[in-house]
Amino acid sequence: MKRSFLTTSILTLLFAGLFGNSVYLQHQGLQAVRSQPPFWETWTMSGRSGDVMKLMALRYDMVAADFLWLRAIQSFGGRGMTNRDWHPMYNMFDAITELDPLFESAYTFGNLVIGDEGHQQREGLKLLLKGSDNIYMHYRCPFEGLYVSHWSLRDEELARWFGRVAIKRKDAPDWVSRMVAYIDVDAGQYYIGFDRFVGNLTKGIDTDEPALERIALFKLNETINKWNCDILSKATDQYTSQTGKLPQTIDDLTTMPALQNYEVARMSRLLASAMRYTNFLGKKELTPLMLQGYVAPDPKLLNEPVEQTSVTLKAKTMDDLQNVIFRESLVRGSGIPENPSGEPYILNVDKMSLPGVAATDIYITKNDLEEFAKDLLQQIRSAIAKRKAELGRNPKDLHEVFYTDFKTTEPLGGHWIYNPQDGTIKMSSRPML
Amino acid sequence: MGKVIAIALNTFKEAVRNKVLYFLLIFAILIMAFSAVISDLSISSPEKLIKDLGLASIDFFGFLIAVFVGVYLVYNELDRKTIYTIVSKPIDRTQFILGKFFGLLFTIYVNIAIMTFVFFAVLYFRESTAYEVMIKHLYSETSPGHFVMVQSEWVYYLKTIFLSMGKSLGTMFGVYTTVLTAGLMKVVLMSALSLAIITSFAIFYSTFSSPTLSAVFTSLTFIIGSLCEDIVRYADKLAEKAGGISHLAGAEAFKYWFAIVAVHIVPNLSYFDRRMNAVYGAPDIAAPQLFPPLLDWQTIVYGIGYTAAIVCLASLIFRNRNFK
Repeated sequence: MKRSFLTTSILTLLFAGLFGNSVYLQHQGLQAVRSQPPFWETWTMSGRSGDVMKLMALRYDMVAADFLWLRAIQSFGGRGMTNRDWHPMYNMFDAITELDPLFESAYTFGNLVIGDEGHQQREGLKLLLKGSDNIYMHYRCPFEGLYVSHWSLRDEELARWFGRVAIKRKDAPDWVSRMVAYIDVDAGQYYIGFDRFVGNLTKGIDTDEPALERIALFKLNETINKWNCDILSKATDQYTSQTGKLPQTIDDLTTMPALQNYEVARMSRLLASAMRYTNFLGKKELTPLMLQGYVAPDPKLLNEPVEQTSVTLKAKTMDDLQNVIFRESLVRGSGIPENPSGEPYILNVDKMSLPGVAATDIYITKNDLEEFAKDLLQQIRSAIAKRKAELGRNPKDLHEVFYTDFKTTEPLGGHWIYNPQDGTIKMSSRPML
Repeated sequence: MGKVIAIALNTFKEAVRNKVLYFLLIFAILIMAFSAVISDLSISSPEKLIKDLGLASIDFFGFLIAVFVGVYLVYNELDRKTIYTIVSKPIDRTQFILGKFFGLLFTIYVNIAIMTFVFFAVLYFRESTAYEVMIKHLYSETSPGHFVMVQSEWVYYLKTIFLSMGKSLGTMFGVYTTVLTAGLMKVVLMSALSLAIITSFAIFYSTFSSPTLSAVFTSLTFIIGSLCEDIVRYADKLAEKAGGISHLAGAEAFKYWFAIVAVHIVPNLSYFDRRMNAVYGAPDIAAPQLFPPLLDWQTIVYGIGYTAAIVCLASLIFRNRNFK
């Protein structure tokens, strides 16, 4: 009994001592954790770790990828709270995507971490490229590749490549092809961009989707306008090189080489072509409301009988005739191009001398110029009203409003008329505005 | 046939008395339940995490059961000398091996069924307890912008548990499927087929070696079987490096032929692995070589044939074994 009590006491004491010691050590450890920064990377991976991990995971690659994925999320947050260096995480995403090649979020999130946050856009793109190859049935990775290349890297060629990949994917929504066409046009690839938007229009007619038709027409109008402006811009450069001065009117450009025997798409021909083939196939016609704001369809082409070729005879949908419409819209000619709105082009001389102005703001229509003038007038009136409120009276002159001589000329060719008595301002060319 | 069934049932009864089996089962169920928790840590694709972990657990714990229970089955009969009472009866040794095999396979399949039930229940429960789903069920909009609670959170949870269990059973028997669980049951069936091969190996090794060695051999078979396709690629790389098979010499030639022979002998367990296909859904393009269907006859015939062959081999060895 006595011996048993002694043994029990010794064991109890031993337990209390050892366990107490363990609790103390654990407490020390936890204190150390608290004093450290909230995140400490203990697991950095070297290049091609995924290959080794794939072997080690046996057939449980996807589970290994999931755990690594959770670790990557933690690592992203941890690095964000400490050194903000996300670059070493590339190998982690590479390993995840080696283990689970169809893990789409790993590619897109990896691109966000490495590219957007880590400022290594090219490496981020490498992940998206890998994703585009591996997940060959979805558009998401190539689409994000397009987005990053176009908007972050301004690498139009790469963006167009990713775009071409994205639109081939079966799940790519319609707007992806529109975005790709937009980038094509933006990169000066007018033929390709125009062709893609013609595809959108034919698809819209086939599926009887007025919204899609309207968007396609609007984008086609924009594309042709950009195309025309690009040609006019080249002609302006040639004029400036030859004469040493800026052109004063659009007619000054007509003799320039860039405006001789050039090929361009015409809205009037496009509309005529689309309309005659909708009739030919018995499809729903483009409504007058849809055509509002665009040049009238070319009557000659509209009334021409449809050529009986193997393509037109076999065609069942407008989509089958996309290439025909595309070719019929193109025309070779000389002189000032036809504006898709139907109004003639004029020069916005004020903007020509300013740096960084888009060509579409220089070669405009009379209507555009009036709109521009109205906007400018509105802005000047707001500035006068604001200054009036500050002074408690009407400004004596425009110098008192803008603190400098008001040099901007009135866009429509006249001059500004300011009345200090009532604080009103007008344009001499349009006094009623 | 009756004798085989009697031995199989007896084996099953014996196996369910094994505590290791319960430890493994409880651990597997805990992991599946835990998968629902860790999926919340992911910023996207939480269902993917649950599916990956659930399907992998079913496969891996099935393998562990085959190893830890299977390798003792024949050994115990020999160790306890009960084999003498069996072989002295009009039971063929092949019938004995068949009985043991089917008994163990039945044990594994019962466990797989339990794990699958829990797995589907976890998936359905998580789907029904997603924030937006719960809000829709718990609150009703009486007037624009004004919501009233229509049922208690706990009542909803309780209802969801039972509903998830019901849905889970329905999915297992093929009467209820949603996008969430589409194709998963077929993956489980394919896993079950691969486990039949592993079970046959466990029985085969246990006919001539100790439990420890049998466990090691079965595990190695599982590892090599899982790496089969990588070993082929390794062999191809060796040949490519040498400039063709005919240029291989010495150690390289030995390594190449050893690898080639090995991958033709061991079972290719990757054939049965359809997890990726089921988790991501079958792609809508014709690329059968990359994405085999979830169930295909060729693999089923291969699995059954391979298993039968190994059981035959086990019987052959066991028939000639001297118990003295």
